Amino acid sequence: MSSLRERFENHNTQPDPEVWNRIEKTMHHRTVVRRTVVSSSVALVALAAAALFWLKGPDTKPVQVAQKETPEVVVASNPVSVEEPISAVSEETMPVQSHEQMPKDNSPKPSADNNAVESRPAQSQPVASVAAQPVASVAETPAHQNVSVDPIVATASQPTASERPVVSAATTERPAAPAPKLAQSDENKAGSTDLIVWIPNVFSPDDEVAENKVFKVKPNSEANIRSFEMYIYNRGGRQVFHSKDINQGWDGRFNGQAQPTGAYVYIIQINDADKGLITKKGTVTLIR
Amino acid sequence: MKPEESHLVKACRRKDRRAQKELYELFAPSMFTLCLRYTHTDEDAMDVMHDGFIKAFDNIDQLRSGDSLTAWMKSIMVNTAISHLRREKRYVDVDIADESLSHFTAYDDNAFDEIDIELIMKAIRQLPTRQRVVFNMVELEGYTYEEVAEQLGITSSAVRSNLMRAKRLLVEQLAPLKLNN
Repeated sequence: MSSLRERFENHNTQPDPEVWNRIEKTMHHRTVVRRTVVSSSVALVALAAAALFWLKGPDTKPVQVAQKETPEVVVASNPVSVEEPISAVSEETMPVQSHEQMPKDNSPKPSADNNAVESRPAQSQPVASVAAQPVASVAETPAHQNVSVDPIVATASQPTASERPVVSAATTERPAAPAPKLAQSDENKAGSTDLIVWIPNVFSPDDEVAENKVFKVKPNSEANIRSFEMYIYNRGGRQVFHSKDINQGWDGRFNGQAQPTGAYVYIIQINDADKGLITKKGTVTLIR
Repeated sequence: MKPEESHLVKACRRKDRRAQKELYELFAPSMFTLCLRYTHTDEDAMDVMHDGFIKAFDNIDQLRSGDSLTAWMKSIMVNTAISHLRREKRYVDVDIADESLSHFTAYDDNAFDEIDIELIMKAIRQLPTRQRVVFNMVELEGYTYEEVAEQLGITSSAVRSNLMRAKRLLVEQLAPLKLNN
């Protein structure tokens, strides 16, 4: 005969069905309560958002829209595709009429020469037309933009009829759709960035002054930075530096190798507590 | 955990109602026996069963894939039973001084071999609450004296003496039946 424990282990008693009914009732009741709480809180949040929107008035709308779009910009600027940041720079600077005659050699355009030129004949026509559209809209409101601080601005070409192929060459690798968004969000934010950070346009790792050795963004006293991200690309479009710390600047090295003199494209994304998401693109010159 | 059990557990984590019912049906018969052993009345057993399963469904996330589902369910039920009995205030905390148990020799592992398990169950349920809990935990669940002492917040020697008393009471109740058979 087996032990008492074994006998009990093999001994089963079917409980009254009422037990399950009560368990199910308890579970169901709690699910309903939880659902009600969730849905009512969602409704509350929506209501609060609507109230806020209404209070701020219609003027704030464009800014909010622009902020919403920035994440897309972030995504767009990270990929391996080199043309991305460069062409973005050129578009940002387009409205600045005074620079249109500047030589194109300063620009990070070479990548366009390297990669895109071959495809120019085939693709230039349709892309040019797409690219021209956002540019045109941006150009209407260039007056209050101080994009010109960046020396690189010159890079970009005004979309005159003759130069269009160049623009298209730079943008061939990129899907046409994001272009208007980039242009728009930059338009909305241009200038505001300059109020909270200072971005040097030249640095020299071999310099004797420590401050000049590293390319580093300096926030001013008004800045209230919640997050920071910086990418730097070389003329070949390769990402040579990435940082999420505003205090960590680029020392001109990539994989331990000192990088040559030249222009480098930076993309800086700042999430400021007061100004929201700011994306800043430009070039910095490395001198040895 | 058996493969089909882990499947069921995964579904229960998603709060799948059908899976919860399946889990209940899988364990209800054995767990209800356990609940009955710990409680004096059927209503109490049903309450423990209800609370225990709710607790199991709520905490099924904490169950690791390497754990035994049966052992986990059992320990939940035992803990639920203990806290239930404590809450019901029927848990009389009388620490029995280790009186002379020398005359107690009748009980051994085979003492109730020939007695119907339903009768044994009935006798267990008639035991005073603390003796019943201790007897169940040590003899039928296989806890050590130390584990039981910790769970109930009493000393190991109190566990021992409660167990002895329980066994003696059971023998007193069941021995005549054995003779009659």
